[in-house]
Amino acid sequence: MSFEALRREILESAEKEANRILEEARSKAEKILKEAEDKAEAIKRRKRSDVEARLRNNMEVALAVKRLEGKRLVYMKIMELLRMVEEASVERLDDIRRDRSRYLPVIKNFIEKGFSELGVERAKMFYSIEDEDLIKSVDFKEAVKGFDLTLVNSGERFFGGIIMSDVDEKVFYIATFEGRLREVMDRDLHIILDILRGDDGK
Amino acid sequence: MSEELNRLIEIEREAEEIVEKARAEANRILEEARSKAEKILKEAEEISFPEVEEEYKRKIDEELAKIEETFRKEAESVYSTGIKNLEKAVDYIVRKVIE
Repeated sequence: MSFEALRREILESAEKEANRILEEARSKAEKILKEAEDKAEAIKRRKRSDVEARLRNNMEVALAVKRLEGKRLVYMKIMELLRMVEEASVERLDDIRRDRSRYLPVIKNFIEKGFSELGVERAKMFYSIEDEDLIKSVDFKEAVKGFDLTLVNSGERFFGGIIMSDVDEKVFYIATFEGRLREVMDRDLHIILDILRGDDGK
Repeated sequence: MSEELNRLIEIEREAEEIVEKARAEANRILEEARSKAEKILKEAEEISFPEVEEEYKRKIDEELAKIEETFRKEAESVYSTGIKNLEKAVDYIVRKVIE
C-alpha cells in the first residue's frame, strides 16, 4: 500500500468515526428534546387540571354563597309577611276587645275552658285593669255553670283575655290575647305559612 | 524511514483532530439540547391559562346572575302571594286565639 493510500484510509476512518460520534450526539439530543417535550406536556396537562379544579371549587363556593343569599332574601320576605300578619292580627283582636258584643262571648268561652283545663270547681279569674268596667258589668253565671269563680283585678295592663288559676294560685290557665297570639304564631307557624303560600287546601 | 514515520504521525494527528472536532461538536449539540430541554420544562412550569380563567369567570358570572334572578322572582312571588292571602292568615290566627 502506498503512503497516499494509507493516508486516505486513516482520514476516511477518522471521518467515519467523527460522523458516528455526531450521529450519536444528534440522536441523543433528539431523545433529550422528545423526553422534555413529553414531560412538558404532562406538566401542562397537570397544571391545567389543577387550575380547572381550583376554578371549579371557587365557582361552587361562589354559587353556594349566592344561593344562601337568595334563600335569605326569600326568608326576609316571609319574615316581613309574618310581621304584617301579626300586626294585622293584633289590630283585629284589639277591635274585638273594644266591641263588647264580640268580646264578652270570648271571655265567657275562656272561662269555660279555664275550668275545664284546670279541672277545678272553684277558681280565680284575673283580668286586665282596662277590662274592669266590662267584667264588673257582666253576670258570668252562665259561663261558670254552677262553679265558683272569684273575679280579681290583676292590677296589670295586658292585651285582652284573662288569666285563671285554682284558688291557691298554684296552677294557672293563661288566656290573654297576647299569650294565645304568641302560642298560635309558634305552634301553627307551618299552617300560617301554608295559608300565606296559598297551600291551605282551600 | 524517519521521514515516513513523521508523515504518518502527522496523518494520525490530523485524524485525531477530525475526531476531536466531532466530539466537541457532539458535546455542543448535547449541551444545546439539554439547554433547550431545560427551557421547555421551565416554560411548562410557568404556564398560565388566562383563557381558562376567563371562561370560568364568564361561567360564574352567568350562573350567579341566574341564581340571583331565580331567587328574586321567588321572593317576589312569595311576597305577592302572601299579601293576597294575608287576610286569610289573619282570620285563621284570630279564630284560633279567641276559640
